[in-house]
Amino acid sequence: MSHGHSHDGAPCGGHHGDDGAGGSRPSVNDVQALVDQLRLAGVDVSNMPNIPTAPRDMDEARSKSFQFWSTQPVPQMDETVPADVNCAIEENIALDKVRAEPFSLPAGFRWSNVDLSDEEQLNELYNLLTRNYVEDDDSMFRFDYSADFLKWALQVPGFRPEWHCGVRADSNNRLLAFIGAVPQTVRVYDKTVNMVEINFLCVHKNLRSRRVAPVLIREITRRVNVTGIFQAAFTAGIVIPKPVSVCRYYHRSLNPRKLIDVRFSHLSAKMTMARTIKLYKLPEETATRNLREMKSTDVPQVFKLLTTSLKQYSLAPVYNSEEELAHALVPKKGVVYSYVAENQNGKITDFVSFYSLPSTVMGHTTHKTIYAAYLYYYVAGSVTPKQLINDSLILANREKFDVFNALDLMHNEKIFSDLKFGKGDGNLQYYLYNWKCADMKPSQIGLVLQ
Amino acid sequence: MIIAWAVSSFQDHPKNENQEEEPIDTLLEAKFDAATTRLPGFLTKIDQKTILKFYGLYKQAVEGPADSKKGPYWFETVARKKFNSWLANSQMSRSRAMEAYCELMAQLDTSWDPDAETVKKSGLWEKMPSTMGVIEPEMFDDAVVHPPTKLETETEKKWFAAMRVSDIDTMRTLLRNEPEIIEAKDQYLAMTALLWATDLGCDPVVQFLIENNVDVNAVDGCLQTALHFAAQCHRPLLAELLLQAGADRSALDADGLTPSECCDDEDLRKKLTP
Ligand SMILES: CC(C)(COP(=O)(O)OP(=O)(O)OC[C@H]1O[C@@H](n2cnc3c(N)ncnc32)[C@H](O)[C@@H]1OP(=O)(O)O)[C@@H](O)C(=O)NCCC(=O)NCCS
Repeated sequence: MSHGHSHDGAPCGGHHGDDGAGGSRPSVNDVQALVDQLRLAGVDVSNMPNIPTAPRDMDEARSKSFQFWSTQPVPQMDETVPADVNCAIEENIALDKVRAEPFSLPAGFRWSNVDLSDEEQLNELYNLLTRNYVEDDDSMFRFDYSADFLKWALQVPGFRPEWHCGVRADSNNRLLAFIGAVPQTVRVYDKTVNMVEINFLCVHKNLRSRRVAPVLIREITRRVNVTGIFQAAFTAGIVIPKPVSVCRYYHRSLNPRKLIDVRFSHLSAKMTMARTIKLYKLPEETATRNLREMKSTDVPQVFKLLTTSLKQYSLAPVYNSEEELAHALVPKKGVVYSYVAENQNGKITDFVSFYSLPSTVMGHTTHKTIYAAYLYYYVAGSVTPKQLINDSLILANREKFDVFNALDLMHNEKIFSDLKFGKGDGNLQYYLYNWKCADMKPSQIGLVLQ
Repeated sequence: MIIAWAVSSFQDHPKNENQEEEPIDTLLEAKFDAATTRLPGFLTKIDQKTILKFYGLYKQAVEGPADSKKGPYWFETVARKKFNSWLANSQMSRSRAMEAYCELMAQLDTSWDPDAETVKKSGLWEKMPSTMGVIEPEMFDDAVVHPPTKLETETEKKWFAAMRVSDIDTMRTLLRNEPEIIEAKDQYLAMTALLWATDLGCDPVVQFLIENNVDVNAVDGCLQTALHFAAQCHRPLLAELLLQAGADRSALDADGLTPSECCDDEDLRKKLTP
């Protein structure tokens, strides 16, 4: 799977020194010499950084050519995979055949694992991911992954330091790019596959559009391959070959006044703020009376409950141990929130969780951050999913979240309109690397990636 | 890809020990590239001094600071002049030199729009939070949307539009031509500009309307006053303004509630209690 192209058609724009550093020789005709020098150096327009456009929907993507992804083991954009196909695209490579040496970086750069247990490095990654956005872009919100969130998402049981893969500049040691992988067993239809989840791909803004992302993807692939894993799952807001499913975000206002103030949502001319506030108002108490915060001692029961429940979906995580599940779901303030309903016999019947991922509000005078809760895993046993999710709205509201987000996967779509969710403007595509299977409807998806 | 990555900004220029080497912004580089291709067309029209300025900035932008020990001899007049012009910029970062070059070019060539080069935004692959869009009454099952009984006139349309964006100047002009517009009701919910501005929190509009002697106790179809809206939307400042202008604390809406009874904010509730 290491398709070792040394050059994937990158724009070769750039300046070549006119006559070498410091070595100016006297010239007869100054002006003429300058003209020549500048002509030589002046970069032809066709060589200017050729910034490709990122397709945001399937139609756009069908008409685009993918310099990088067309070299990778993924289905073609226009390919329809029949229902009986569910397998790897490329066979596993014998471990001694996997490329052993890292993909080379240009002089002046080096690979460097980011150790998230080290406060300083964790902070560097936090800054790269959250402080490093392109200015004067007209989008008003950015993800603001907290340091604790990053540790939770990346330091899962069995994580490998070399899968927290960074690139640094030699000159000043700055972290300029990152890609992360974590081990995760995933069931795709009837096959259970050891995979990694890929996340937090990021390139310093001043290095964008220079085909750095493909080097990172190749390198993380290599590092995963050497451990005998050849499949990956990931999500993205863009469309590349080829989504296994296209999901949509829905949003439920908890603090409508703030969301409207920061223009996260808007009022139509027929809607007053007063009425909006009234309509979104939630009760103080959950309808499920015995709902309480999940504890470590609940892990064995939740493990059984969730494992059984996930069987109904075509794409779902498989927790190999209670430890894995505990890491994902035992509450961590500011990161992940989980609740269980326990009956008189001490049996856990229902469970719901959400994680916290705030967004920075760009250029607003009073509000800097939107606190967003994202629906995570849940099992509605004794109550309806609708009641359970509504209860999680109440709990999120109690924790002072401004908005509750959910994708239209699992059973979510059926309850959105009753619970006053509004459709978002963003799709989230699900991808499998080196795997071919029939497309899935969002309701077949039971895997939630951060 | 490695070639491209390296060539575009990092290769072949001496490292400057004192300065943090920052990668150059892609868009700035595109702008700079475009500027350099424009210079040859101007060389015959500009003076020697300006040419030297361009030269100095160009070298600094492409190669970084000159090494003062490696310059040409003093008697090589022309070369020395060029070199000095380069040396003069040695404190500039490469990005700054590119910017300065572009600025100089923009002054020279007024028909050149440097920002045209930045139309293609980077950050295109960026993962961005989804946002929510417009909240319509139809999103809620208990919605009661009546078809408009009376359509807004063109002037009324302008009046409400200006109110929404707190465009006082336009409102003032409209009011001068048509004084009765101050109490005009919108076509959907039969609310005056004062009710809307209180509801939406357009503070300057409320101030402006009060200054122009608006009826502070005007009501909508549900008999709600501006104070009812300030109460429900937690707007203590506007409540204060309205009270000073004579708003009635004991006005009852269609449900028989006073503003304070519609308010679930402790402090504001106290302030509104008749
Ligand atoms: C995402 C990001 C790393 C892309 O970097 P870039 O410099 O613009 O992209 P490059 O020019 O190096 O590479 C472009 C190639 O990478 C691919 N690519 C870009 N983002 C991708 C993503 N999120 N997932 C998979 N592939 C991606 C593109 O499809 C393209 O390949 P193609 O020609 O086959 O279509 C960069 O925009 C970034 O750091 N953004 C902020 C963080 C972020 O939003 N990350 C998203 C994932 S969490």
